[in-house]
Amino acid sequence: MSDEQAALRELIADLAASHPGESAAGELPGAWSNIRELGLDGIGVTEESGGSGGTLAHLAVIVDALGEAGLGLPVIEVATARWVLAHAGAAGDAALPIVVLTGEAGQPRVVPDVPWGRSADLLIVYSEDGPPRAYDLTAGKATLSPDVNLAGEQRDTIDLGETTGRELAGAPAAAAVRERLGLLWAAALTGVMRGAYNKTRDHVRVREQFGAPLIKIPAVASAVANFKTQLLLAEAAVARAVGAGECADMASVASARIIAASGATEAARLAHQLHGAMGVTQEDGLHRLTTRLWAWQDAVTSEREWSILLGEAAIDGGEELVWSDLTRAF
Amino acid sequence: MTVEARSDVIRLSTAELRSRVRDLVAQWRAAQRFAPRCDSWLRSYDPAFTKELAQRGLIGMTWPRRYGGGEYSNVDRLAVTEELLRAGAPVSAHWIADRQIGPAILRHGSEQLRDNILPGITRGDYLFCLGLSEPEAGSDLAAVRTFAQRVDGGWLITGRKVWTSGAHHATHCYVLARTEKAEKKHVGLSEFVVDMATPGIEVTPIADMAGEHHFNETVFDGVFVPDGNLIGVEGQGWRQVVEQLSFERGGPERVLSTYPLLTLMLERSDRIRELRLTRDIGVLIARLATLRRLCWDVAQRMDEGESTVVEAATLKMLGNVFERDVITVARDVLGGPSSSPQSPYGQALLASPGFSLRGGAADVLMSIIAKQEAKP
Repeated sequence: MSDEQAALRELIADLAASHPGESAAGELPGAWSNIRELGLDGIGVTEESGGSGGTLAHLAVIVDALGEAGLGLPVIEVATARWVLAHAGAAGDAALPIVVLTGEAGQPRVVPDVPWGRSADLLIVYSEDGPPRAYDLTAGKATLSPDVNLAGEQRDTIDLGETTGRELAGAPAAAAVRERLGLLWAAALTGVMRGAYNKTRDHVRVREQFGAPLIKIPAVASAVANFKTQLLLAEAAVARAVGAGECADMASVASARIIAASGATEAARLAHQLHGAMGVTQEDGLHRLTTRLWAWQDAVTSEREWSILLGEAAIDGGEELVWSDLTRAF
Repeated sequence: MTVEARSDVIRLSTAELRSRVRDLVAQWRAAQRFAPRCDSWLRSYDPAFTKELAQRGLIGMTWPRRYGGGEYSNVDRLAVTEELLRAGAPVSAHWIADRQIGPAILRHGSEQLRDNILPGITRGDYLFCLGLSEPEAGSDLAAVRTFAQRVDGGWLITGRKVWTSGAHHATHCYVLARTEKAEKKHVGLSEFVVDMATPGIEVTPIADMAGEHHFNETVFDGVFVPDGNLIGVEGQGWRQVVEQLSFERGGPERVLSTYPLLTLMLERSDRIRELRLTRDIGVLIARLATLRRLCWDVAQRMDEGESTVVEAATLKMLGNVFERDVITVARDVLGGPSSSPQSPYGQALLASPGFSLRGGAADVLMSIIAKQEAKP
């Protein structure tokens, strides 16, 4: 890990430590104001375009570290929205812009599953065709039905009503936004996996049953090893996709997303199994991690969709193309 | 016997190394000199192909030039080995010497032993088999009983080794033997290079479930091994062999043993779509991409002289599961109730039980990782 990465991780760890309490379901956590003060929601956007500088790789470290701490904040959505706005030359002064991909033709009137919808002041909507549109949510024309995801994070349905919005000509293509979001969610999931792994490992080394720490039981040791290998695999997948640079390609992002999402299923299962009944209590806190593994593994584009995308590309292109694509880098 | 530094060896870029392999493979395929097959690094033997690789400087690539090596990085070597496995090429003759015995001799062997053995490997003349496992010592490797008795000028080795793949072709055998009867089983082990032409060696085939002969039982009955053929320090064999096992575990052959089956599947896009297996193919590609990255991580760590014990164990465990899961998807795409043992699917399936046994059983690897994680 580079010094720079270590410093970012430390920053996030401190931030998490200063907000030990849990937010109620549907609340925007208090740590968000710190993120704003530090400008961490503007990483990956140049300072000239109103961002905080830094690269996608820096942003990936931040969302990974937030995940490790079990913090659910709108960093991925807002940083990506700012990146879209900057490319469209429309940076503006939105405090909490959100970007969504509908995957359907034409701009909708009702937008479901908007992350942090009730906290947002600007909504960027991508349809499958044409440039995205940005809607001002402070004008009072939109109506909102609140809901939350499995981790208690805001996922609202917004009826845009008569709001017309404005076209963001020059914004990145929907596919590019999908890939950026995909990579960041893979990094975030990997962070949560690490948080769950560390907590689980600590637990089985300390908790005694049958007169010895749990890890002395061979089946428990095997489960820990299995958990560790899943984590190492997810970390490798994200490192590979991040290594592809600012223009992360579909295949490496899809791979990272698939590996992190399937690892998340295994991680949640193992974490709970090894924590025993304590792990399912509110008090224990494991749920802050495991509900995020479940809520985030299919965020924006599901594991299934990524798998089919990658599978289609492979059978359309054939082995020669698959191999040459794989061997462009390790 | 020393060879002079090969001034004709020009260092190639990774891309050039890849195309060097692809060209050779294409020539041999065009001339129908080999058919791609799964598990080729264990089951596809052709000393003529090994010689061709040697002539192109592709054996002992990372070793010093004075031994005929190319002084390439482990990452460069990885590019070559993965291209060979991708092609399902006949590489078993030299695989073990190139992968682990050469590096072990290079790290621990005397100057004389290096001079005697390494140039023979890089020329493609010396082919090694691996005398590790014994009837009473498989997963519990340190329990070896083969004994090396000190005699004037060397040792007399007596014992039985099993699963010595390729012993019936090999010119040399690496042997782990006990040189001291110690209380603790990890103490008093030593490593030797044994010339297979020495009197007292008997090689008996062990046919595997596919009816193929690559395994053997190799019996040593008072086989004389000269002093100079000890690798490293007498009695320090365990420490040395643990290092060697990282080389054995951390390579692309732990991921790509069934790659030729994946290649065949990708030619059947119609069938994949019809059976709605596109998603499964996508998942396989994602895992392959990531496991290659783990191979690269291990090679990089080797280049930087770092330990790779946990990384290599992780790679091998997850890689073996991937190899097996390729077969599971191929069962639908290529298999069928009448698949013959010679069909690509049949060959791969019959080879598959060995994947998570050889080079350290999955259960042993799990305990290596768990032990590391249990440390405070």
